[in-house]
Amino acid sequence: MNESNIPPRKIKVGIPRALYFYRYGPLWVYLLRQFQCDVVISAPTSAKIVEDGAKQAISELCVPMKLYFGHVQALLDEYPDLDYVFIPRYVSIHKNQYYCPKFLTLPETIKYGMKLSVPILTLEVNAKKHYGIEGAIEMGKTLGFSLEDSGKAWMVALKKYNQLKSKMNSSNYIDILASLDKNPNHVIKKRKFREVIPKKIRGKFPLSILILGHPYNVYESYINMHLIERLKTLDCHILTIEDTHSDQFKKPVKINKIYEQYWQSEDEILKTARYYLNEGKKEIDGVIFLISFACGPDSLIEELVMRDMKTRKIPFLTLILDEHSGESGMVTRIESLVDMIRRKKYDSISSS
Amino acid sequence: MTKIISFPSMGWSRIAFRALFEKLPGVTVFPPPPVTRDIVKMGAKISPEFVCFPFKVTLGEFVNMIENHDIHTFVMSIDCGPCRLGFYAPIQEKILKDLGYDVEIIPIQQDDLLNFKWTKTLLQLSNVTNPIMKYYDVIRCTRLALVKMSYIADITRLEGLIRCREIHKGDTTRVVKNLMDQLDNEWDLQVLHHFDKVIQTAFAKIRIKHDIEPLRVIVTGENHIVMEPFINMDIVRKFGEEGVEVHLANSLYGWILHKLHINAERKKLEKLSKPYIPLDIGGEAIWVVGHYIEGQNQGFDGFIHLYPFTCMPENTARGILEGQSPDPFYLPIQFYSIDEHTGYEGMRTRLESFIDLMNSNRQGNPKFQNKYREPSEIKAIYDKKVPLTNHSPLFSEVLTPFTNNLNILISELFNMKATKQNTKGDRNT
Repeated sequence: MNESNIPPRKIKVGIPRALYFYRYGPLWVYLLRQFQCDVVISAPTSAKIVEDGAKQAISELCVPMKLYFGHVQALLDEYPDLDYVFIPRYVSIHKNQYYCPKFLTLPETIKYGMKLSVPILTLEVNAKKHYGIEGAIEMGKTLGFSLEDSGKAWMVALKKYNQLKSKMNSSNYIDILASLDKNPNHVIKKRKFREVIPKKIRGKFPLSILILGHPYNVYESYINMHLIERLKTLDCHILTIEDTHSDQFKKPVKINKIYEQYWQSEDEILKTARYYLNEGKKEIDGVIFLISFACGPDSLIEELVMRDMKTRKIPFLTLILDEHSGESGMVTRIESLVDMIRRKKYDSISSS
Repeated sequence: MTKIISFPSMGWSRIAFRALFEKLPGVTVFPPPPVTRDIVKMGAKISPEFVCFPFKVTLGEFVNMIENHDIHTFVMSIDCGPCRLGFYAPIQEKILKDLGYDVEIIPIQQDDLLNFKWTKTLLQLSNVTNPIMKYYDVIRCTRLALVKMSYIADITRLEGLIRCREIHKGDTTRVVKNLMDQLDNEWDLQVLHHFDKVIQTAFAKIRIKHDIEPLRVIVTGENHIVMEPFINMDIVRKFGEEGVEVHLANSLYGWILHKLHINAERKKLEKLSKPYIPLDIGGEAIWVVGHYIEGQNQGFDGFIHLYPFTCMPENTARGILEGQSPDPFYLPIQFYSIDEHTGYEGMRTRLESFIDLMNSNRQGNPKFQNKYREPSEIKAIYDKKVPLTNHSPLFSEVLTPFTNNLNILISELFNMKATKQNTKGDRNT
């Protein structure tokens, strides 16, 4: 028997399917695969994960954070032979900006909050301190890779991620993220919803709705109760931040004359809102802002966006998500919003 | 024409803020009235639903001053850190303008005081045209504010230490109020430089019980909540009346020194909490964990963590503190998440049961070590052989105002060096 025929056991790294997995997930997966790791992703959110998370986390955290605790727990339960849990630390990707404080200490919050026994593999993205590639090199060091290899891995992963990002939009986002997970048990089942609009008039009175919010709220279909699919059965065309052209994200946002905003995670929301308030006003009929309960940055940004929408007379609905919200309450609110917008839009056209 | 300005009060800190603007030519300061139930209600009504509590309180104060006192210009600090404080000023201005008030909120930058962006606000407010004389006023105002700030920190610290020892209940509260009024109305820098003696003589008049070993508790958390007695239900006073020695960890002076990068104590705490929170995440999170570890090492009896509901950094700190107890964190801790619905009675019940818990912890917990030492301030005030006199030699009247400022700086620098050496020594052993 020749021992060299047996391939060496790959390092097994688990990624929790929560928070910024919904934005940078592909990048992490590509990077870890470049490092020859065996990447596993936690199961899609289920009732058990929510319950576990709510138990582990302190009660005042926002829902996405609680879900993160739940997903880490699910990873540990499903893969007991895990070598590392991958928990990134996102501090900033621009010199003058920060992510939400909860992201800044995410590895420590999980490590000390859960008394985690598995070591944490972390990727620090901190433009205040160093370039992204240096974070990847640090990560490569823990996995036992040389400087050149880690640098190359980062470049390849980033290139692949950027290619993928340009292809992603609101309709295929969930599917592309799901395709990263090779585990057959983790297939997200498509739910069928009753068609509310009668067949005769289906497609005759279309609306386009802009959904604002963090990707981990908009594309997390368990916690937002399949908002996108539900709106589609109501004959609505969906626009999200991912559908906005990348040119819109270049100019910085100013809150007022002297003041620039400093939250990275809110930047794209504000920029998208700015585009649809000015040039893109004709493209949308209404706006839904998804925020999670006790979200710090959103509580203020929502106020700003809401007040601007009010002055421009764009219909605006805030949906607050938490682990206790019921389905029917939300359905009623969406349906009434859509009905109201539709009545207003097509009444004025038919009467004129 | 002079501009009438005001600002949010933040407890006794309003004295320091007033000192910062009072002597600026072209500015008349309206000292903000103390926070009341109505002000909080007013603020909560027009604020976003789950914004943190200081936002609601400060907004309520603005509305109160606009409606009842006809003030239309406010100064509000802004930050560019990761926490919500930086957004206060622009959004409050927007909300007030949407309500139809004619209001101007002038931001004062506090993210790093050494970049001197904050002087811009003062220069902008002053109506002196000569550019050099403008700076003269700024320097004088800053000195006044810094000196008063340091005395506020001293008085609030002594208040916590002495109240648990007083024989006649209410003495300390009265003395503190008198001292603060005196400090607020004192504008002579030369008298102010001797004000520590005034403080000591005032406190020396309180009759106290000597040689007792009260429970010791650290009270810390988010700055605004800890410093505003109406908001935290005057937790310092309540503890004192129950006979608990309170070590108030937050003060405006300490915060300003930290922003000037010369606060040695905070640097020490940052080092202690580094494994748990490796970088400043806004709020007081990093120092809360540091205070906790230090308190545990020094054999304190309890720890109180006050923070506004949904505060992001403080919640992170809480998660870490809660997750790591009882091992290695065994110091009894109580969290108060405060918002506009917090009531006094609910807090009192929890607080009294916490005192019982600390008492039983002293006897029952094998990890607890009794390292009680009487605070040095008590000895300095009450065991003085020589009576305190207010001497004012001619020579010092000229020199002390300058040397005192220098002395503060030098002592801080030495402190920093000493702590550096200490930590080095620890590492070697």
